[in-house]
Amino acid sequence: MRQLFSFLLRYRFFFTFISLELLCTLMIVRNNDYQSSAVFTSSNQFVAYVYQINNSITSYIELPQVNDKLAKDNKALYEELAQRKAEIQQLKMNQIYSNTNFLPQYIYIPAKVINNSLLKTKNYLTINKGKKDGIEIGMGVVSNTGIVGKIKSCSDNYATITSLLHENIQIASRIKKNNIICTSKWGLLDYREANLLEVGRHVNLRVGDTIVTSGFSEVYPENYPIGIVKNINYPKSNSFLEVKMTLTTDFASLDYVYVIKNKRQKALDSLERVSTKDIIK
Amino acid sequence: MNNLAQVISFFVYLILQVIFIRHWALFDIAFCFIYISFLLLLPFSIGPLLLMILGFMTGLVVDLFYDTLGIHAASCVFLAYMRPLITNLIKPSGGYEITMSPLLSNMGLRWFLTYTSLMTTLHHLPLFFIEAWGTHFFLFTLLKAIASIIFTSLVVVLFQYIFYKNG
Repeated sequence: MRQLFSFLLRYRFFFTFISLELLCTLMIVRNNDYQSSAVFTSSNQFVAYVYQINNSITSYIELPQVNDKLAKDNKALYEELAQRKAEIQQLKMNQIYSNTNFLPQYIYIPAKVINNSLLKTKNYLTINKGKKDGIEIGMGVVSNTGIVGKIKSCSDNYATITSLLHENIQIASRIKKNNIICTSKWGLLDYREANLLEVGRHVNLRVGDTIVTSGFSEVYPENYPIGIVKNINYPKSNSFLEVKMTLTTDFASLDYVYVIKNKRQKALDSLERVSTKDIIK
Repeated sequence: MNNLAQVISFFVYLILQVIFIRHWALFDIAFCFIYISFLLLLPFSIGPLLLMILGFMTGLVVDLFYDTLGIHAASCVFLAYMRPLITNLIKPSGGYEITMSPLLSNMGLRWFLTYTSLMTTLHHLPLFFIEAWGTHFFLFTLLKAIASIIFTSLVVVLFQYIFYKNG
């Protein structure tokens, strides 16, 4: 005890110094925001490091329980997901029934051409889709590149198309660049060419102009390409131009076509029927 | 110098420090802490314990005015603790007369300059580095400390010439 006292006495200056400095440090840390926050942060980091080590050990030991829990969670989530999917499907169906009018006017039914003719004056195509696929008489048929024809007759599984290469077929057309209406008709001689009728002499038409469907008939969608003007004659005896155009559809290599179902066809037909009756009366 | 003179000196230096010299900042890096002059000029006869307590009190008062509680106190305690060691280190061949104060007029310019610069360094380095609390702006802090050491030492010496002529 005496030795301790003598030790303290001998180093009393140093101990006083140390205790005073400690007191100062205490004051610094407690009263200066910057220093206190720095101390706080570093001590926090130390604590966090210790916790991290601790956690990494315990979590390894607890892995089996964690796996079980995760499996259970997964099961619950999968079940909930299935439920949600069913709900979404239900909602979508409801939406379709209530929003029919906002769906596209035309539905394209793809079909494969199984028979084709080019060289007669009345050419027909046969496709592998019929009434079962929703095809009806009078529907338009197009290819990727242009107009093909119109459904002439259909059985349950097959349908016959009156080709554009048919002497009785006329298509309500329009010159794309200036919207002047005209009529397209096959010229009977070449399956690559067609005539453009009812184009007045005054019309500004050039070789290379595109002819598209007018959309008046509602059989074909509007602005679907028919042909490109190939040459123009100015006959003296006729007030109309003699125009030849190249068909955009290559009938010789026709493989897949699309039958166009117009959803408003029925309403349109009934309306037209009523108006014709009126006229007759 | 008697005790009364020391007490007056204590207050004069503190008032000078916290009212006027507090706003001094040469080139925005050099600061003057003239109040340590009070601790430097206490007589040789003073005991280390009393010196440290006086240092602590001085620092504390300055801290109160600087809003840096503890920083100046810590530096001053360190200064007070080191003072006997330094005076022992640079002891002239004849030793010190126990009743003497370490004034320029008593000790000569060379001794006084060495003493002042050493003591100022021992005070300012801890002061600036505690204030910075780390080594983030090490060079800038060091620059501030060195500039301040020169500034403070210069002022302490000037004060010797102006106010302590008679010793």
